[in-house]
Amino acid sequence: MNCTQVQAELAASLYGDLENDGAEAIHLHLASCSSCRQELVALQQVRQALDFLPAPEVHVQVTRIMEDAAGRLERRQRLWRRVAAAAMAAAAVFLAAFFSPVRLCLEQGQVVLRWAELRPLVVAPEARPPLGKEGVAGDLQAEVQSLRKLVHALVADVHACEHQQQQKLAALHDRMNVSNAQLDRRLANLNRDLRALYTVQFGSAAKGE
Amino acid sequence: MVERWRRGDPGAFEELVRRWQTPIARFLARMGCADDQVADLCQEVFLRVYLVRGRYRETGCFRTWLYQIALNAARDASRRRQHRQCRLVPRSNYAPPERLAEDGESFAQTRELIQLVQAALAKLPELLREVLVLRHYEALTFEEMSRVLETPASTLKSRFAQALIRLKQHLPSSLYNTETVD
Repeated sequence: MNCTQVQAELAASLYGDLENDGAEAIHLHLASCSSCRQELVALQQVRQALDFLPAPEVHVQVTRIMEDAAGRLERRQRLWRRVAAAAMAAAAVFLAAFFSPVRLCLEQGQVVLRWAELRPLVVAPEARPPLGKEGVAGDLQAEVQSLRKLVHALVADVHACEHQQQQKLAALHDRMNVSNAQLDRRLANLNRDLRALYTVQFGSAAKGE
Repeated sequence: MVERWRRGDPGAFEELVRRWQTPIARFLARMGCADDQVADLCQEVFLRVYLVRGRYRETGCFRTWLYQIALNAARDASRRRQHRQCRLVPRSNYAPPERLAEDGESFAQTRELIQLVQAALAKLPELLREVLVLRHYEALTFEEMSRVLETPASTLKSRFAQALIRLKQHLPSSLYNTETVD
C-alpha cells in the first residue's frame, strides 16, 4: 500500500473499523513510514480533542410532552372538523343549486325568479305530452309566449329611445345654428361700430392737422 | 422497555426519556444547535417520538429510529435559524496551549481547546459533521448510520475519513505533537 491509500484508511484504523487483513496491511506500512505515523498521531490528537467537549445537561419534561401532544391532536381534530363542515356546506349549496329547479317568468311586466317544486331532471319521453296540449307543454308554451312578448317590448323600447335621442340631437343642432347666426350678426355689428369709431377718431385728427 | 412503550405504557416512555435524553442532547449540541436551544429541541424530539409511536416497527432498531428523528429535528432547526459562524479565537488573543498532553493542561487551556474544537466542528460541512458526530460521540456503526442517514455505508466511511482530516486542518497545528513516533 502507498501513503495515499494508507492515509485514507487511518481514520478507520483508529476507530477499529478495518477488517483484519486491512488492519495488518496498515500496520506493516506504518512500521516503515514515519510520515504516515505522524499523520496517525495527529488524528489521535484530534480524536482526544473531540472528547473535551462537554455534554449538555438536559431534563426532558414528560408531562409537558403529553400536554403538547394532546394539544396538537386537539388542533388537528379541530382543523379536520372545520374542513368537514366546509365540505358539507359546499356540497349542500351544490345540491341545492343543481337539483332545485328555478323558474324564470314574466308577470305583469316584471321578470320573476321563482323556486319551483322538485322535478326529475330527465323526463321520460313517453311522460311528456305533445306540444300544444294542456299540462306541462301548455306551461312551457305560455312561458315561451311571455318571453317573446318581453323581447318585442324591449325592442320597441330600444327603438323609442333611439328616436328620442335623434330628436334631441336635431333640436340641439338647430339651437347651435341659431346661436351661430346670432353671433355672426353681433360680430358684424361690432366690426361696423369699430370702423365708425376709427373713422371718427382718426378722420377728425387728420382734419385738425 | 421499547416493547412496553409501543403498547402504550406511560412508565416505559418515561424510562425511555431518562435513558436517551443525554445522548440526544449531546447529539443535538454537536450538530450545531445553540446551547439555549438544545433543551427545547430535545423536548421537541421526544414529543415527535411520542406522537409517532404507532409508526415504529417492531423489527426495527430503536436507536437508529430515534437518531433519525433527532437528525430531522436538528436539520429543521438549522434551516429555521440563521447559521452562526463560529470564529476561531485569533492567535493573538490567547496564549497558545502547550502541546496537548495526554491528561490535558490547565482549566483555561481546556476552555480554549473546547472553543477551538467547537469552532472547528461548526466549520465542517453538515454532511461530514453528521457522520463524525454519529461515529465518534454516539458510536454508531456505519451500517446503523446508513439506516439513519439513508446513505450507503461505504460513502459514510469515506465521509468520516474526510471529516477527521478536515477537522485536523481547522485546528491549530500547535495542538499536534509533531515529534516523530517510532
